[in-house]
Amino acid sequence: MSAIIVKELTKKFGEFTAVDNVSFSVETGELFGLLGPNGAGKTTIINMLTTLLLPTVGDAEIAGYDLRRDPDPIRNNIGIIFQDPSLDIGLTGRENLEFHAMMYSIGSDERKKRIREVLDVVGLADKADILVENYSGGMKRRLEIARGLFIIQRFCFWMSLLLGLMHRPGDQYGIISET
Amino acid sequence: MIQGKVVYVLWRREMIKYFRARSRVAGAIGMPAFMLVFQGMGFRKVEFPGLPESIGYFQYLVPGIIGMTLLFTAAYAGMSVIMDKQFGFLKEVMVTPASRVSIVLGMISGSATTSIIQALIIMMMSVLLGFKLPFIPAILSSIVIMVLISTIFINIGLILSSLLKDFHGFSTVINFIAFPLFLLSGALFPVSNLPVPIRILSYFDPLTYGVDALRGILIGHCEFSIVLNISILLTLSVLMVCASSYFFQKAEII
Repeated sequence: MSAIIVKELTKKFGEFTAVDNVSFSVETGELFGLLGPNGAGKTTIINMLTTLLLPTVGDAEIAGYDLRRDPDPIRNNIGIIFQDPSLDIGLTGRENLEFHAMMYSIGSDERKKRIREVLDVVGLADKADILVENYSGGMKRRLEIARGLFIIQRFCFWMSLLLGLMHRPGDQYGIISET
Repeated sequence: MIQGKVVYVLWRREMIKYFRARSRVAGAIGMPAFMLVFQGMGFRKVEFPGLPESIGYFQYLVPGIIGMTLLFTAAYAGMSVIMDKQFGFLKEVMVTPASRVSIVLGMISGSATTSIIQALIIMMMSVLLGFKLPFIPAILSSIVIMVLISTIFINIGLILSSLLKDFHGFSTVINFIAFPLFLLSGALFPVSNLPVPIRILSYFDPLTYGVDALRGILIGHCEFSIVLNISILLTLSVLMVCASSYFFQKAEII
């Protein structure tokens, strides 16, 4: 059985059709890339698969859970790195990570340990206690990635993989992978 | 199900941001403070019909202005949700497996705390202007009423914020809602002075019962019984929490 099954997914915003009848499936362990020009609907598809938007027509299953009926178990199985900024710039880097960990109900010891680890991975250990509004664009991006790595979920949605890190015009893609 | 960690972290985030943004504290206190000084001092000597002689206008006004502070700071709590939407942070909140009820309760507890801090600052200011404060137990029970009042209006703001996307839309609509609620509530004068058709409207205003309960507790004068006031406030609070949880569950909030 496929890990992600998307069946005839359509999303309309009023008259505008953002995603038109898309079907695909992703196998367990597969690294799946979603490529397309700007405005193709990649983000809208990922927003639907991560339960942020409801499809207008069609269905999708993630790890056997139906998108419409069981959003909660799906949220328990996914991690996501957004392409647009999604940090609280009024908090420090560490506070952003703590917030994230507590939203997933992770205990205090585990939380502290993981925060140290991911900050090291993205090279922000010495900037962790600075307000995010004072971060540079690249640092913000690295913090978002640290937050995405914080909890290793079964499914990782990574939007615009290289955005803000090594930007080349025209390079835009989202990746869905199952770990 | 309610997740303690989620409620706590949303509350803590609100506290951190509140104490980092001093201008917010001063800004939100400004309006009620002016009302207290100018309305309170200006009409201090006026004898209002519908007021017992033993209670001066200033004593009568203070619980009303406390209610006003709660109404406006609470109703504007939805604004931070709109800001989170625009900064993209709300997506981060909504993709987590945290239950929507916990998210709503966390937002309510944070905003209720800030509203009550503001209301207590106004109460302290009014003491400086001559308000006779009751004993500690009465002050503590008035805080319970404040929790109920702010819960009701925070939820109005939250529901609105789940439907709207931009700052301007939100503040126009919330002003359109909050201002009549304030004027109808009897915060400034006894509702009994209003013509009957308008007075009937005031019975549909939750703040009417909130202000009346605060008066009952703080100055020992109320139109309805305290039990009636509290029952109405409590029922509405519970209904409003359910309503905004529903909206956060259903709406596409990004």
